[in-house]
Amino acid sequence: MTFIACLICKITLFVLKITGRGGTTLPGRIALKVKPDILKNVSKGVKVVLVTGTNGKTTTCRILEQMFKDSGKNYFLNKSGANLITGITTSFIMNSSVFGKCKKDMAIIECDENAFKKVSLYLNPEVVLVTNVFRDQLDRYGEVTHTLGSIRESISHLKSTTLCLCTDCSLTYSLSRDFADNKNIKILTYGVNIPFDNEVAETNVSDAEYCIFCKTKYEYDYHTFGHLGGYKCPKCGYSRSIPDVGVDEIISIKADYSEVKLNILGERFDTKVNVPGTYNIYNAAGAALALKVLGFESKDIVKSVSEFNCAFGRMEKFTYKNHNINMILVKNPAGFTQVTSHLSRIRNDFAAIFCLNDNAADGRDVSWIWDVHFHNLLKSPYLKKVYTCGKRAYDMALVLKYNGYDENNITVIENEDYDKEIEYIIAENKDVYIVPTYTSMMEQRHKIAAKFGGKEFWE
Amino acid sequence: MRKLNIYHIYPDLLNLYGDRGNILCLKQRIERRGIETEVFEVKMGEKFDSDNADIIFIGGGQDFEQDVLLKDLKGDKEKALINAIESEKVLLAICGGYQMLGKYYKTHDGIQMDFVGALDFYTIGEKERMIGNYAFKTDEGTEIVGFENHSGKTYLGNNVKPLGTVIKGFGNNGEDKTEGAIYKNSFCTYSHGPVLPKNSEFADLLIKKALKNKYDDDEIISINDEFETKAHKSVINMYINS
Repeated sequence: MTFIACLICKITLFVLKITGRGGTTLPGRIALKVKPDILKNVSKGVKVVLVTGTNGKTTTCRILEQMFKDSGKNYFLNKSGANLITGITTSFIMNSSVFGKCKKDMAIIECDENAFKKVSLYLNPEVVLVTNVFRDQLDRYGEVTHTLGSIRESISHLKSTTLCLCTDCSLTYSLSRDFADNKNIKILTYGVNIPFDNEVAETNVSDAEYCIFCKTKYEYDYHTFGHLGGYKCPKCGYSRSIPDVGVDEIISIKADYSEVKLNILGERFDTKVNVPGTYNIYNAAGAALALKVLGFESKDIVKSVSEFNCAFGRMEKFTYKNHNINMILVKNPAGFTQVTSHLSRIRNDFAAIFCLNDNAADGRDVSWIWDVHFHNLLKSPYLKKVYTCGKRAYDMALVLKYNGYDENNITVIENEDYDKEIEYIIAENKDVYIVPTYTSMMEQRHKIAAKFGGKEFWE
Repeated sequence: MRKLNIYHIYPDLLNLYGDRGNILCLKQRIERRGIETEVFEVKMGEKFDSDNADIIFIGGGQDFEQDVLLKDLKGDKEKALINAIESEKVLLAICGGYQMLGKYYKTHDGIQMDFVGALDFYTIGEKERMIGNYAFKTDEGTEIVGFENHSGKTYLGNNVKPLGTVIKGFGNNGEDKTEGAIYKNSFCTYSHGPVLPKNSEFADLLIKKALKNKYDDDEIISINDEFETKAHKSVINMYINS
């Protein structure tokens, strides 16, 4: 059956390829129909590191990949769009012989938090890294504690593994208590030991203010980002731990990168985190911990983190004349706030286009945009003009208006007219940041790329 | 100069689904009329001075935090809330905040939690969530659009009226076509979205009632509502009339 499943999967992949459609979901879906536990066969003998959590999965995986690449490992990484069981199955089969024997020694697997439940029945990763748990598309998954519950259940399926947890996230780190008595599960942590000195920390919406164990309000020594930071429950004593890999100091934050003192098991290294956005400091620390667990040398890890070359979030850069046209994907309030914070630090004139869709992959309920922190961006003197686009362009316009932006300076592009959007981009004659949700990005990417060329960073 | 005090109850706990957008909306719509406004937050453990309040807002929250909240409510805060409602203060409650004002909530496996009991209704938890864009119409003919996402089914008693009749979607319970509740000047709804920015007529109704209460003068100038009206219409076109 493994042979048949792999064969059909490979044929499907081939057909999709020659018909120019691509796609990573269908081949895996077909293989799973033929043999529901196919993932067990094709992952046999492969050393897997799996990354899950609300934010930072893709970036963390890319940092891991840099190290694997630098050290000449024989590995593969699933594409970020293929992080459900179907896509993961496709990725394994793509890297296997038709008899289901994987040709790679190692795999970096980005896994959706809810898909992990099924994946964990067949795949036993050597390392599981949980980045954080934030609100994400609530209409799909329910509440944050539900997402956490999924991850907990998934881990309980594993025979043995090493968990790398972000200790600054009170939700994520609670997993350490759930598995404290399980001898087959080793727990290590990473975190940031000092506050982030920026406006991202100040947000009036927290996803976890009350102790997950006894429901008493946490006390914080400091905040880094959203609900992440140095929390402690005054009643039951649940608190952040001292991380195995921690950021002791932020030396500088630049437009394109940041420099930190990274403490790896007690040894300190000046480390350049070669991605903009303070949040990515977490992803670097998490990746460093996972790599340490996998047996890499600290100094090599630091080198790979500093050489890791990709833009902020899922960002693509295009150019028009001598202006940059940037596209940054947003998926949830925490990630979107990170983007607005990044844009608020830009020191040359620019225009922003916010594109909001409400298809299943974006989240049917658009109310999440009201949990985004816009204040600092909207008061930036460098932000000269705002456009909104997408199916819910007017909802987007209202958020900006009621967050205090002058409505006369907002142009709504109706009917998802991305050709019109391109006309506006050209007319702007300055740097433009396009900030779309997932399906809006998919709808306009090819048009933007065709018009403005440029290099696609990820995919 | 006229001034309205907005009280946001439990901004620290009941902060789900962008409901704070309602506060931003009220504040800006009041200020654009040349009326002063101040927002007061009443968090866990803090006193609620309901006499000073002109508009009270309670948002939706996670089930996880519900018992933290019920403990804090017991006593003075609950009394202040009931007192405000009875003395015809303007109140808007959404989803979890709405359910909380009722008599009780019974989970699908029969565990009953007593709530504030300020309004005559109760809620029964179901396994299946009622999720989606929806619309309803008030008796006065105001059409309201929003997004509902609740597992509780609410059943109204005789002492409250529904806020509106469901045009499309589930509403209170998916059975009797009612949505939300009205009692005196208290308005309850399941509508997220948040509800006020896209339904400016409803937002202004609350502002006018509060002005009438305090100054017996509910005159407000009209303001540019282009985005508001178009956002409203786009939901109607995409999800209600389709």
